[in-house]
Amino acid sequence: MAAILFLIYPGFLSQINPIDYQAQIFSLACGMFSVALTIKAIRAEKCLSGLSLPSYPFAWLDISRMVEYFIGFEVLRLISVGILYWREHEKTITTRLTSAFMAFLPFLASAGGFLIWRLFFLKPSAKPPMSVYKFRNYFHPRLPRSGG
Amino acid sequence: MQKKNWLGVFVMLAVAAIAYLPLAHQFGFLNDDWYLMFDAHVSGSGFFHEIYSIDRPLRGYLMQAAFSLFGLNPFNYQISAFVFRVFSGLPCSGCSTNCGARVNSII
Repeated sequence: MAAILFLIYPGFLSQINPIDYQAQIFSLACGMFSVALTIKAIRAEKCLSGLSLPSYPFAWLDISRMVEYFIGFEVLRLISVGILYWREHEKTITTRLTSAFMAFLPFLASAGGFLIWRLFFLKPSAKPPMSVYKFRNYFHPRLPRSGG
Repeated sequence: MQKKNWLGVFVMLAVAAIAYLPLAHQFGFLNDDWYLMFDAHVSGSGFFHEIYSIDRPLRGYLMQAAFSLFGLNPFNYQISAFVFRVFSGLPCSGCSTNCGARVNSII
């Protein structure tokens, strides 16, 4: 049932124009795949081996320079990892929290690195290419025109 | 057990097909699709890098690959979007077993 839910949720209003939203839909698939691999790896107790390794590039793909707001997947991952480690009742709370933090650390580094790059190092070009603006203004005449 | 897994995959494909495919062949270009396709058609798929260098550089590579594969046919993009949506749901089927028990244990 959960899998069927994620087939249709989150819904994109713009699913019907997948040319412009191809990156979003692709990133969604990467994000879900990455979180699922992380959960699988922890449940299989292979957190730092085989299963978890592919989740890193997919996590990187879903946010890094593709669609930045999919960084929210890291919150879903953190909650999932936290729940999985919280279930280990035989361990102390400190051990559980430490284990969860260690499992999440590579993704935190990835998301943090991306945020730093996005906020401080990305140098956006002054304006988009001319033809883009011409067409944007043609279809959305109320938008402000480019200076060039 | 193996049969049950395949049945689950089939159900998911059926649900996704019902949700996303019935009208897919009728959709054309919408909103920003027009100038993206125009630019790529006139200037080549490499033009996507110029468009997305503003804020999402990696997106240019994805769109370049997509345009090289699918060209100007919007239906191809609908199909690839459908495939990606299926792939975003399928992994959850593998990690959702005992989900209820897990939630109960937390509560």
